[in-house]
Amino acid sequence: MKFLILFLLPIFIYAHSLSVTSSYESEELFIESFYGNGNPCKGCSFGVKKENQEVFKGTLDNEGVFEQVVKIKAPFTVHIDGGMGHWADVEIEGNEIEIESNTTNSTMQSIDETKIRQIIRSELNKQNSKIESLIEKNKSITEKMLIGLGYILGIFGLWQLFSRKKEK
Amino acid sequence: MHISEGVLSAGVIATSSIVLAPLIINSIRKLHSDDVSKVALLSALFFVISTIHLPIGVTSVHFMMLGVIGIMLGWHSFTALLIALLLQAMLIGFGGISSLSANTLNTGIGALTGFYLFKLLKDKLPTVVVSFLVGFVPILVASVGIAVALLFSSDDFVIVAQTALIAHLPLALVEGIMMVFLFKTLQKYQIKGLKL
Repeated sequence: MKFLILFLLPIFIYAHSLSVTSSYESEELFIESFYGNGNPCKGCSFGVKKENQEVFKGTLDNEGVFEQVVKIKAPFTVHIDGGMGHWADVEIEGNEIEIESNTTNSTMQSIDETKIRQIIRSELNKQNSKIESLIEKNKSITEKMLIGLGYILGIFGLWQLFSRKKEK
Repeated sequence: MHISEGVLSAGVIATSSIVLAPLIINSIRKLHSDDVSKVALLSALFFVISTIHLPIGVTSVHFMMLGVIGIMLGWHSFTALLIALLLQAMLIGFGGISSLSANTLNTGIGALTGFYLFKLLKDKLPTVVVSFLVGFVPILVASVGIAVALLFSSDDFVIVAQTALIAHLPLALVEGIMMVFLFKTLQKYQIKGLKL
């Protein structure tokens, strides 16, 4: 029995779920992905899909992060493939304010107000993604498992209740 | 290892669904109210045990305990596994809804192999050998099922299918050894209805 217990030690427990947070602002795509136990999705491949067509693909770094300027028109979907049955999707919605292509005006020395807003929003979005990522990491896999066990109990409990009534 | 969402071809999804449907209907119709709790227990076992991974090199495979599920439930294994896999796909993002029928069929056939192996060999071979085979063979059968489903979906999955087969070999060995200890314990306490 000692052998069995050894295999059930928490060090062998790996969380299955794959989480992903992403933001897209000023053509900069930020993706962070990690497993339910908080381990980063190292070197995982991802694809950016727009209208069911892959428009961009890449891989996450050793920290499960991708941060790069990518020219894609939102909205689009980021699909992470963690391998061995792990996957996750995140939707990026379209920007409310379009980015102006010519931001430098030779006659104006000061930075345009819209540009300042975009820069602030871009930085805030990145920070928000990181905070969301931290919140998600803190969600325990145990919590999800307990929910699953609750469903099993509920489904089969109702089943037994109805089948007993039927037999009577 | 379960097959992810969007991996299988429409043909494989349709075929596995058509094969699985009568098995599930038959199981639901024949399931006696006294056995519902047993199905629930083993469905919960699969749901939880699947989160325990065995690291193998750069990858990992998870425990399945198909042998135990098979000998305890027989043909009802399909129902228990369907519920567990559905909840895994929906809650933990493991496997997928489109690949649910193929995953249920693969694991279910594995469990059923364990059931018939146990039935055929329990009086012919020593308990240690039978228990090892009941743990070992169902995992191999399930991994062959995964490989076949992948191969029929696309020619690009040849390497993935080979990896699935090879990666499950150590897991099958570990589960075989675990089953030996599990059988000894169950025999010791003479679990009602198991007749070991």
